[in-house]
Amino acid sequence: MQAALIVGLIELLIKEAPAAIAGIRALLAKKDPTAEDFAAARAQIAKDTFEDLVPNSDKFPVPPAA
Amino acid sequence: MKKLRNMIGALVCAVSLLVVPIGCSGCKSPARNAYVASGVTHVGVVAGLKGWNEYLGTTDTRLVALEKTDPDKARVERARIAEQNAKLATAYKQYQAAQLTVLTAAEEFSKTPKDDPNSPASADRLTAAITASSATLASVLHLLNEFGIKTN
Repeated sequence: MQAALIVGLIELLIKEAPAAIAGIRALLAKKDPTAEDFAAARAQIAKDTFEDLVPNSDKFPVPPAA
Repeated sequence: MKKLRNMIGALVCAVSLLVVPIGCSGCKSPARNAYVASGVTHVGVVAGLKGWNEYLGTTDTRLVALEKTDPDKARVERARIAEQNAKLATAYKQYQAAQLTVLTAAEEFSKTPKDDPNSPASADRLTAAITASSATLASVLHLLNEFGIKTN
Protein backbone atom coordinates (compact mmCIF):
# COMPACT_ATOMS: atom_id res chain seq x y z
CA MET A 1 0.00 0.00 0.00
CA GLN A 2 2.86 2.31 0.85
CA ALA A 3 4.46 1.65 -2.53
CA ALA A 4 1.17 2.46 -4.26
CA LEU A 5 0.93 5.70 -2.29
CA ILE A 6 4.44 6.69 -3.25
CA VAL A 7 3.79 5.89 -6.91
CA GLY A 8 0.58 7.90 -6.78
CA LEU A 9 2.34 10.87 -5.25
CA ILE A 10 5.09 10.78 -7.84
CA GLU A 11 2.50 10.52 -10.59
CA LEU A 12 0.78 13.58 -9.18
CA LEU A 13 4.04 15.47 -9.03
CA ILE A 14 4.85 14.49 -12.60
CA LYS A 15 1.40 15.53 -13.77
CA GLU A 16 1.44 18.85 -11.98
CA ALA A 17 5.00 19.90 -12.66
CA PRO A 18 6.46 18.40 -15.86
CA ALA A 19 9.07 21.10 -16.09
CA ALA A 20 10.12 20.35 -12.53
CA ILE A 21 10.58 16.69 -13.37
CA ALA A 22 12.88 17.57 -16.28
CA GLY A 23 15.11 19.46 -13.86
CA ILE A 24 15.08 16.58 -11.39
CA ARG A 25 16.10 14.11 -14.10
CA ALA A 26 19.11 16.29 -14.92
CA LEU A 27 20.12 16.31 -11.26
CA LEU A 28 19.79 12.55 -10.88
CA ALA A 29 22.05 12.07 -13.90
CA LYS A 30 24.96 13.59 -11.93
CA LYS A 31 27.27 10.89 -10.56
CA ASP A 32 29.83 13.00 -8.74
CA PRO A 33 29.13 16.74 -8.70
CA THR A 34 32.18 18.85 -9.36
CA ALA A 35 33.16 22.18 -7.86
CA GLU A 36 31.57 23.79 -10.89
CA ASP A 37 28.33 21.88 -10.27
CA PHE A 38 28.19 23.05 -6.68
CA ALA A 39 28.95 26.61 -7.72
CA ALA A 40 26.23 26.50 -10.38
CA ALA A 41 23.72 25.11 -7.89
CA ARG A 42 24.50 27.86 -5.40
CA ALA A 43 24.26 30.49 -8.11
CA GLN A 44 20.85 29.19 -9.20
CA ILE A 45 19.46 29.26 -5.68
CA ALA A 46 20.86 32.74 -5.06
CA LYS A 47 19.43 33.96 -8.37
CA ASP A 48 15.90 32.79 -7.57
CA THR A 49 14.90 35.65 -5.33
CA PHE A 50 11.42 35.79 -3.79
CA GLU A 51 10.66 38.94 -5.77
CA ASP A 52 11.54 37.21 -9.05
CA LEU A 53 9.53 34.08 -8.26
CA VAL A 54 6.52 35.95 -6.89
CA PRO A 55 6.26 39.16 -8.96
CA ASN A 56 2.62 39.55 -7.90
CA SER A 57 3.95 40.34 -4.43
CA ASP A 58 3.99 43.98 -5.43
CA LYS A 59 0.20 43.88 -5.59
CA PHE A 60 0.16 43.12 -1.84
CA PRO A 61 2.47 45.58 -0.11
CA VAL A 62 2.55 45.36 3.66
CA PRO A 63 0.49 48.31 4.97
CA PRO A 64 2.44 50.79 7.09
CA ALA A 65 2.01 50.35 10.83
CA ALA A 66 -0.77 52.51 12.21
CA MET B 1 -5.69 26.35 -4.56
CA LYS B 2 -6.50 22.64 -4.49
CA LYS B 3 -3.95 22.12 -7.26
CA LEU B 4 -1.36 24.00 -5.22
CA ARG B 5 -2.10 22.00 -2.08
CA ASN B 6 -1.92 18.70 -3.94
CA MET B 7 1.40 19.67 -5.46
CA ILE B 8 2.78 20.75 -2.10
CA GLY B 9 1.68 17.52 -0.48
CA ALA B 10 3.32 15.46 -3.19
CA LEU B 11 6.46 17.55 -2.94
CA VAL B 12 6.75 17.05 0.81
CA CYS B 13 6.53 13.29 0.44
CA ALA B 14 8.91 13.14 -2.51
CA VAL B 15 11.51 15.27 -0.73
CA SER B 16 11.11 13.20 2.45
CA LEU B 17 12.02 10.09 0.49
CA LEU B 18 15.20 11.77 -0.65
CA VAL B 19 16.24 13.13 2.74
CA VAL B 20 16.31 9.67 4.33
CA PRO B 21 19.25 8.30 2.26
CA ILE B 22 21.38 11.30 3.24
CA GLY B 23 21.21 10.26 6.86
CA CYS B 24 22.00 6.63 6.04
CA SER B 25 25.46 5.94 7.39
CA GLY B 26 26.14 3.16 4.93
CA CYS B 27 25.13 5.08 1.80
CA LYS B 28 27.68 6.15 -0.78
CA SER B 29 28.51 9.80 -1.53
CA PRO B 30 26.51 11.82 0.98
CA ALA B 31 27.78 14.90 -0.79
CA ARG B 32 26.19 13.77 -4.05
CA ASN B 33 22.96 12.92 -2.24
CA ALA B 34 22.92 16.33 -0.60
CA TYR B 35 23.57 17.98 -3.98
CA VAL B 36 20.71 16.11 -5.63
CA ALA B 37 18.32 16.58 -2.71
CA SER B 38 19.09 20.30 -2.61
CA GLY B 39 18.34 20.60 -6.29
CA VAL B 40 15.15 18.57 -6.10
CA THR B 41 14.02 20.56 -3.10
CA HIS B 42 14.65 23.81 -4.90
CA VAL B 43 12.74 22.70 -7.98
CA GLY B 44 9.80 21.91 -5.76
CA VAL B 45 9.98 25.10 -3.74
CA VAL B 46 10.17 27.18 -6.91
CA ALA B 47 7.13 25.37 -8.26
CA GLY B 48 5.31 26.04 -4.98
CA LEU B 49 6.14 29.74 -5.07
CA LYS B 50 5.04 30.03 -8.67
CA GLY B 51 1.75 28.52 -7.59
CA TRP B 52 1.54 31.11 -4.81
CA ASN B 53 2.27 33.84 -7.34
CA GLU B 54 -0.57 32.57 -9.52
CA TYR B 55 -2.87 32.64 -6.52
CA LEU B 56 -1.87 36.24 -5.74
CA GLY B 57 -2.70 37.23 -9.30
CA THR B 58 -6.20 35.75 -9.25
CA THR B 59 -6.85 37.10 -5.76
CA ASP B 60 -5.80 40.59 -6.80
CA THR B 61 -8.26 40.47 -9.70
CA ARG B 62 -11.02 39.43 -7.32
CA LEU B 63 -10.17 42.11 -4.78
CA VAL B 64 -10.05 44.84 -7.41
CA ALA B 65 -13.65 43.94 -8.24
CA LEU B 66 -14.58 43.74 -4.54
CA GLU B 67 -13.10 47.18 -3.90
CA LYS B 68 -15.83 48.67 -6.04
CA THR B 69 -18.63 47.22 -3.92
CA ASP B 70 -17.10 46.74 -0.47
CA PRO B 71 -13.79 48.62 -0.16
CA ASP B 72 -13.42 48.01 3.57
CA LYS B 73 -13.72 44.24 3.21
CA ALA B 74 -11.31 44.29 0.27
CA ARG B 75 -8.78 46.34 2.24
CA VAL B 76 -8.88 43.95 5.21
CA GLU B 77 -8.43 40.90 3.02
CA ARG B 78 -5.65 42.52 1.03
CA ALA B 79 -3.80 43.37 4.25
CA ARG B 80 -4.21 39.79 5.50
CA ILE B 81 -2.76 38.36 2.31
CA ALA B 82 0.05 40.91 2.36
CA GLU B 83 0.99 39.68 5.83
CA GLN B 84 0.94 36.07 4.63
CA ASN B 85 3.12 37.00 1.69
CA ALA B 86 5.60 38.80 3.93
CA LYS B 87 5.88 35.72 6.19
CA LEU B 88 6.45 33.52 3.18
CA ALA B 89 9.11 35.88 1.84
CA THR B 90 10.98 35.71 5.14
CA ALA B 91 10.73 31.92 5.31
CA TYR B 92 11.94 31.57 1.72
CA LYS B 93 14.99 33.78 2.35
CA GLN B 94 15.91 31.67 5.38
CA TYR B 95 15.49 28.55 3.24
CA GLN B 96 17.74 30.05 0.55
CA ALA B 97 20.51 30.76 3.06
CA ALA B 98 20.22 27.26 4.51
CA GLN B 99 20.41 25.63 1.08
CA LEU B 100 23.55 27.58 0.22
CA THR B 101 25.09 26.34 3.47
CA VAL B 102 24.17 22.75 2.59
CA LEU B 103 25.83 23.01 -0.80
CA THR B 104 28.97 24.56 0.64
CA ALA B 105 29.17 21.87 3.32
CA ALA B 106 28.54 19.14 0.75
CA GLU B 107 31.27 20.46 -1.51
CA GLU B 108 33.70 20.64 1.41
CA PHE B 109 32.80 17.10 2.41
CA SER B 110 33.33 15.83 -1.13
CA LYS B 111 36.82 17.29 -1.18
CA THR B 112 37.85 15.85 2.20
CA PRO B 113 39.56 12.44 1.96
CA LYS B 114 38.00 9.76 4.18
CA ASP B 115 41.25 9.25 6.09
CA ASP B 116 41.69 12.96 6.70
CA PRO B 117 41.47 13.88 10.40
CA ASN B 118 39.02 16.63 9.42
CA SER B 119 36.65 14.15 7.75
CA PRO B 120 34.40 13.53 10.80
CA ALA B 121 34.05 17.26 11.44
CA SER B 122 33.26 17.84 7.78
CA ALA B 123 30.59 15.13 7.90
CA ASP B 124 29.13 16.68 11.05
CA ARG B 125 28.94 20.07 9.37
CA LEU B 126 27.12 18.56 6.41
CA THR B 127 24.66 16.76 8.69
CA ALA B 128 24.03 19.93 10.68
CA ALA B 129 23.50 21.93 7.50
CA ILE B 130 21.01 19.39 6.19
CA THR B 131 19.12 19.38 9.49
CA ALA B 132 18.89 23.17 9.50
CA SER B 133 17.88 23.19 5.86
CA SER B 134 15.11 20.68 6.49
CA ALA B 135 13.68 22.96 9.16
CA THR B 136 13.62 25.97 6.84
CA LEU B 137 12.07 23.90 4.07
CA ALA B 138 9.40 22.70 6.50
CA SER B 139 8.63 26.34 7.36
CA VAL B 140 8.14 27.28 3.71
CA LEU B 141 5.98 24.26 2.98
CA HIS B 142 3.97 24.72 6.18
CA LEU B 143 3.16 28.30 5.26
CA LEU B 144 2.20 27.42 1.68
CA ASN B 145 -0.02 24.64 2.96
CA GLU B 146 -1.52 26.82 5.69
CA PHE B 147 -2.35 29.64 3.33
CA GLY B 148 -3.84 27.21 0.83
CA ILE B 149 -6.20 25.75 3.39
CA LYS B 150 -7.40 29.13 4.71
CA THR B 151 -8.20 30.54 1.34
CA ASN B 152 -10.38 27.70 0.09
